[in-house]
Amino acid sequence: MQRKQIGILGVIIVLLVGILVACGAPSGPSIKVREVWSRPAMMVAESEGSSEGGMGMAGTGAVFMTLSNEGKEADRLVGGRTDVAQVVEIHESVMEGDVMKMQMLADGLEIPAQGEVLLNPGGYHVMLIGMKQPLAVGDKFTVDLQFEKSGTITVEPEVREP
Amino acid sequence: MKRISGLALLLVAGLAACGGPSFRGSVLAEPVAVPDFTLTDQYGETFRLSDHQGNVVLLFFGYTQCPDVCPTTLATWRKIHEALGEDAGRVRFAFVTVDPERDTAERLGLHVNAFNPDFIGLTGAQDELDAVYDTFDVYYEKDTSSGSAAGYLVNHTATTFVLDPDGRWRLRETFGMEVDDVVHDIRQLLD
Repeated sequence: MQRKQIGILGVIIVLLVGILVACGAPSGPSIKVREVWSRPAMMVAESEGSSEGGMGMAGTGAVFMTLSNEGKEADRLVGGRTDVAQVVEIHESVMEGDVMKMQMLADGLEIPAQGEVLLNPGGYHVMLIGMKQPLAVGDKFTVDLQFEKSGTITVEPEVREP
Repeated sequence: MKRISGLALLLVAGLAACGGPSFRGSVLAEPVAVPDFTLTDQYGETFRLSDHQGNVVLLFFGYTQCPDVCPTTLATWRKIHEALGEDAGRVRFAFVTVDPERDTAERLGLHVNAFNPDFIGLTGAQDELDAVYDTFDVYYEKDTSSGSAAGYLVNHTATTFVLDPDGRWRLRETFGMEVDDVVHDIRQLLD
């Protein structure tokens, strides 16, 4: 074979490999959500003075799941909405010694490229604030999860006893 | 001969002393005689610790709007209650609020009794509560910084405190404790 032909062949091979590698993973983020479950939650009817206590006075809930990102770019879970509660926020529980601290993640939660993030008791959770209805084991409801890049992904948590 | 038998007796006594109960939770170096206290339960009735002599008492400090840690603990308690079977009658599970502003007796009842009708939810006047927080060195802190729609969240000690039937604080069971371990420890205290 002539050098030129080898050169062109080489370039073609490189391009093919490049395309194959690129096809192996989406160029942007690619979020998959699985094992979504929720705790039962109580709803307390509005009572006197409850507005001073924040929206959580009607009750709060927690939704857990496994989030994986099969893409090449990170994404962030930034919020959500649901018909069963007034507000949806992303929270983290952190143990410091024997004290549990809970905080809202205002910037949401990063799901790294080719990574997986678990939301489970004692760690990250999607918090439901101001329940509009109670949640009992066996109930069905949906949550529209909001991702920075991937947009909305709707999930149906299974309400169960942990 | 006398000296040898004396030493032998000491040895036996020493071994006997070492053969005490073994616990899986964190044992206090010295049991603490808990000062008697009164709080109010979810039915508006007075709860006096000394009324429960003869029972093992589990105490946890949390609040009803806590979506994660507190329900997790109550769920674990529910499994412990089940695993104890008949012995559960000699154990008291009491959830004390660190958020008396929002946790009325009614809210506490709805919350804890959703897990088990025998669970006790406690609140009270601030000085009554402070006395109990003090005894167990309970840390709690209102956190308004995160801007959550819940208004404020409360950071708090997540340990379960275990008192023996004589009203002495004996053990700490950390958050995330295993049901089997706690059941084991409770049985040791009941014997």
